[in-house]
Amino acid sequence: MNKRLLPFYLALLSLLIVAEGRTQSTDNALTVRLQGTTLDAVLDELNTATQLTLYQNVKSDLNYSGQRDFQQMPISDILDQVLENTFYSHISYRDYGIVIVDRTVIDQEFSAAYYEALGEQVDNGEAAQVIGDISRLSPSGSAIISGIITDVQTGEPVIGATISVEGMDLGAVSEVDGSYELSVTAGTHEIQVDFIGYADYRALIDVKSDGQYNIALDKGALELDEVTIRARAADQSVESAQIGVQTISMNTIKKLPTFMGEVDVVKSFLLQPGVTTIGEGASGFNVRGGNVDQNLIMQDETFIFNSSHSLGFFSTFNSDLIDKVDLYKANIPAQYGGRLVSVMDVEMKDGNFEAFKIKGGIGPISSKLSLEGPIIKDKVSFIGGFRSSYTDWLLNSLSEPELQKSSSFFYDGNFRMTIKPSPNHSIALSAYKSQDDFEYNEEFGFDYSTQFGELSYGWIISDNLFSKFSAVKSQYDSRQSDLDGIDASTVDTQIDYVKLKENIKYIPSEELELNVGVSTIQYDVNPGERNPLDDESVITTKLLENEKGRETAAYVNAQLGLSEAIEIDGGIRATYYQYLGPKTEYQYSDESRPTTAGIIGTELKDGTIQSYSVIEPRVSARLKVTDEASIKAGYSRTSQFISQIFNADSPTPTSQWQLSNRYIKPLRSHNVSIGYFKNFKDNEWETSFELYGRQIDQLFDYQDFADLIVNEHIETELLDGEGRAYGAELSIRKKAGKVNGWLSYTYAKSERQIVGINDGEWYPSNFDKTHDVSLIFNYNPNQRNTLTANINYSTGRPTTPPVGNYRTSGGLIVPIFSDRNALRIPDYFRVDLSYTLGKGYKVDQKFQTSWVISLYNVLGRKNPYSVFFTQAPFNLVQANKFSVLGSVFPSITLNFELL
Amino acid sequence: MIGMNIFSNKHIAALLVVICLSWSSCIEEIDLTVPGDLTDSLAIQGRIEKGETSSKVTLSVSNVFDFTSESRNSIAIREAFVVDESGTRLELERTDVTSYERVITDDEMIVDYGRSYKIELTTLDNRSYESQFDRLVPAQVPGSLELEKVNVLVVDNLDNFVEEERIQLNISSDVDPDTEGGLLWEVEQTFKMTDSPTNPRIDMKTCYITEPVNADKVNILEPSQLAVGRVENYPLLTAEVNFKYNQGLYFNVSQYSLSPEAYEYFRQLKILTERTGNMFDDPVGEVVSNFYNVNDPSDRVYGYFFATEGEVIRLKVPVSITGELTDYCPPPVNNPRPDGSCPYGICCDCLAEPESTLIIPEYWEE
Repeated sequence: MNKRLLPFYLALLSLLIVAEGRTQSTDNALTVRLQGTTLDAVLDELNTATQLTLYQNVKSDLNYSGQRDFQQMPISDILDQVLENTFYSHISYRDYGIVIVDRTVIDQEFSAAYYEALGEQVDNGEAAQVIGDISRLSPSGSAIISGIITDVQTGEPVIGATISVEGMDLGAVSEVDGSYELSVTAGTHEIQVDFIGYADYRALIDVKSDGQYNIALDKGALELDEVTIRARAADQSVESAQIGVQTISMNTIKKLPTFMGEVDVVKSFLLQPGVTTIGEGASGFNVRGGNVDQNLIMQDETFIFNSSHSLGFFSTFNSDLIDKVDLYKANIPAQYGGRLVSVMDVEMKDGNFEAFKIKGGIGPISSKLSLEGPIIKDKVSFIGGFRSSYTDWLLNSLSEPELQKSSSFFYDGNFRMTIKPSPNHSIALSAYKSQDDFEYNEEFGFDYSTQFGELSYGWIISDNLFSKFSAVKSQYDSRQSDLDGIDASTVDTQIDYVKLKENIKYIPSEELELNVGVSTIQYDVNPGERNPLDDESVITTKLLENEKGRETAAYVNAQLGLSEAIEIDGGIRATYYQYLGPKTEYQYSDESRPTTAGIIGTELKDGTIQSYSVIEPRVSARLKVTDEASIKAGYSRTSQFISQIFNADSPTPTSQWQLSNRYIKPLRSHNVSIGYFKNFKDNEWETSFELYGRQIDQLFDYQDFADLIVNEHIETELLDGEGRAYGAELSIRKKAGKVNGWLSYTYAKSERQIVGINDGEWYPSNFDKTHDVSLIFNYNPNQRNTLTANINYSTGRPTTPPVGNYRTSGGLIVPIFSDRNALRIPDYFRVDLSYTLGKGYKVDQKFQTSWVISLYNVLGRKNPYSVFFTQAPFNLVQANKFSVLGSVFPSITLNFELL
Repeated sequence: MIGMNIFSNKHIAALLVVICLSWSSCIEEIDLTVPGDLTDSLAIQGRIEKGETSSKVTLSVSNVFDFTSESRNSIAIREAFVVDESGTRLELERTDVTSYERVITDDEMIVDYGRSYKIELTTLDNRSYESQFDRLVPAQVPGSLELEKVNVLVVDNLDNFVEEERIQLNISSDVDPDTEGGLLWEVEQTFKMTDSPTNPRIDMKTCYITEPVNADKVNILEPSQLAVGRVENYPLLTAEVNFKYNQGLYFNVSQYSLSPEAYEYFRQLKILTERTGNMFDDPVGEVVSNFYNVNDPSDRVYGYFFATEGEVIRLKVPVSITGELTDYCPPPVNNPRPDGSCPYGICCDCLAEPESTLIIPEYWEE
């Protein structure tokens, strides 16, 4: 008998029990003629004839040459004769089951645990993962399960993972090679595997005897439709001590409705509470009332300074290469620094060490292709991906000659090689390059690119001590070109940096995990260089001096479980920032308020021109009030030493990055949050309610009509002040079932107080949206088909309207505006739909395809991006709304996989 | 800021708007109630313009228009003075309800480069205002004007893009890059019009009508930002040929000098006029004013006073640009309305137009 039939037998047994009402008995007489030539075939015939259930695990190659015909003979007697000359015997279980086991086992004394396991075997209708077989269960009723815990993506062993059995004081920790061993009583258990950085793993196992059970941990959130054994919904939201962490599985992201078929990791987070944008096509995102440049966007250990393609319509991340995305929006762990508000941590996949795989996708405006596999099996792997747009067909198909002479092109490419010279050492080499070229009617254009290389070296020093070193070299270049007329010219900006980081992880006990590290970042910024495009241009060359800065930090972060109920995740980060020369520094008559008129001279300085030292405590704590509910609270101090300079609603690709210096102080904020997290129905429903507040005690805004392009004394355009943001977030999420999805609601305020603006009174920031609601509805009638609806509503953001005007002698109407951001544009409402036809069920099929059909803005609603005012008759003004997208955008994308 | 369309965010707006319009209309008028309470605020504008033999001061004062009829009330001034840095005060004379001016000779007040001037005025309700001093910088001699035909993309009534022909007026000029401050170009047009009154007892007459054009565009230049000492084909305006060209039309371009502070005022005006409401637009703001209420710092005052010197350059639009045109008047149908009024006002009485005269301008050539 084949072991693969075991589940079938279990299921059949259950059905038979139900169907027969348990009326059969092993003492009932039976007439049967057996025709099989092997023992297992004969037992199969007997099983069919008896309407009882024979549970057996008999070798398939044993010949049968015994008696063939039985007339009105009790089943137990028939079995006695059939098994007479074999190593097997049989025992009855209650009055409806028979188990065929080794004679050696049968002759021993059976424990209560044995019978309990046997009973579970027969009664259990649930398809728990079966380990071992009941015929080999030791009479003690206990069994040893062993196996290897590995990373599902890389196949790499996971060291130090804790495996435990719910309701029992049992546990084990995986060894250096990922192996573990656990002694349990036979029967059905729920096991749980925890390891930092991996999704919580839970599964039902049905232990029959000693056996092997390998576990593959996923760094991403649990992908419900890919769980092969029954896994209960993770209770990470309740269990984790970190507050304000948002994770969306890549599987969910790929099913969300998209604009023009482009899966967008960054935009997907806009559906989470506390994450907003000022409008379609805008670059970046706003977290809890923060500016877009106050988010740290990381691809592994590399900062991304512009995560947008096509001026903001798409993100630069290729979704096929992403392992996991986390957004820390409240309490940023001490390992991260340099931004005020949030961290989006995008972890890229390692290549497969075992087999080659090709993935790709074809959409209406872009296509992508990725390849991964072993270079040296189990030692060296690679993964590479390339994505490129082809929007020209779209522009050329339009009737406007200007658009036909326009182009918009982008590409991005990733490559990563992972080397494992030994089980305790791993090296990863990554490279990335993206490019955007955008030109309109041969009149103007934007070109910008990001490129970086990253080296990381992981070392397992001992069972509980791990080291990771990383080195990054990155460069972001941008060019804005005016191609036409006498002022044809270019403006270039650039930001380079080198980053070194060492992190030591120490796990002295199950209750404590320590992360200690140091990092240093050396920035080199070209704030602007303007050049005439050709000889006919009247533009003069203007080159600003490069700026240099160094940000050095040391940190320690501890995860400490004080008790079952209380866990603390806290640490401290100390940063020393230096603004470095050589650099010409302007001197002002009033240093506290630099103005152009107040310039009294310049001085060339070298070495450390200005330095700032900051201490940033970060702590988050969890109090578990029940098994499915917890209260969390967090506080963090954050600082930011590099900011993007733009005073429009959204930064352009060429908006320069400005280092903190003598006059431009680092941004600093206090962040607090508290929340109640409650899961229901075995973690199938997840709810949370969070309150947050942020006080930014050092902030700048821009004076009216600030001149920000290639300005050598940019500080004269800035005004100092402070900011505050506060709000409440509610999230209700159904994680499993045919119908799932989530609802998130955010109430938020984001305000500023700047000397020189609105008479020093508090005013709403450009991205202040009081109410924001997202509803995501998924219908999965089966694993392959998914229908997703996304409904989004938000309050209109602030704007500054004209409140009057006057006419100049030349006839020009000069508008007079209200206090800054005194009015709101109309509210935003959008509905999207998508249908995903997933991969086929045949898991061994080499070539698989899936389709995603999206309808973005299905109501065709012309949501206002902004409102502007034009002159109307009788000297009045007319409000006009500007909508970036004014209709429904359908798209269809084909994804494929070649295994 | 050079003052030209360098890296105008308008470009991006143009693209976004065009893309939007290609797929569906993305700009719509909406009702939005705006707040405001500016009824007491004043807009004061003035300039002192140096001439060869005499100089002229002009001043206008009005209430700021806050979209209510109350704010249309005119402002009466008790007295207004132009003051130089040596303390010489000359009273301005009222020319109409809101305007004042004075022609100054050298023996009354020296108006010269490097000297500064300001305005002082008192309203009938005893509010006193002063401007900051503004320093006179010399004008530069304008070079030449040139006309060319260009095609522009416009949106028709059906939201379709259509190309239409326009004429574009360009200026080329030598500019000293060492000049402080900036240049301001203001464009007027003077056209000839012979009317044809419907009343046969009224004689036909030929008028010369002067009016500002392209008033919603601010043409400024900052010489210090130029790579070379010359600006070539700076586009001043783009216009559609209409009936005003039929009997002849001159473009009169005044090139004014601006102090650095005055240049900043016009730079801010330019930013406001170029806004389109897109995501990359420069934000709005309150345009700087160099007027203030002497007794009440909280009183918001708008407008600007500046000292300048202007040089005028002219160009008559040639037939080669407009093509052969016939007289506009009489129009094909010029019957009086039932109430007796003339349907085509300019053809009934061309002299009724503002800034209209029967005197042939001295520069006019047929």
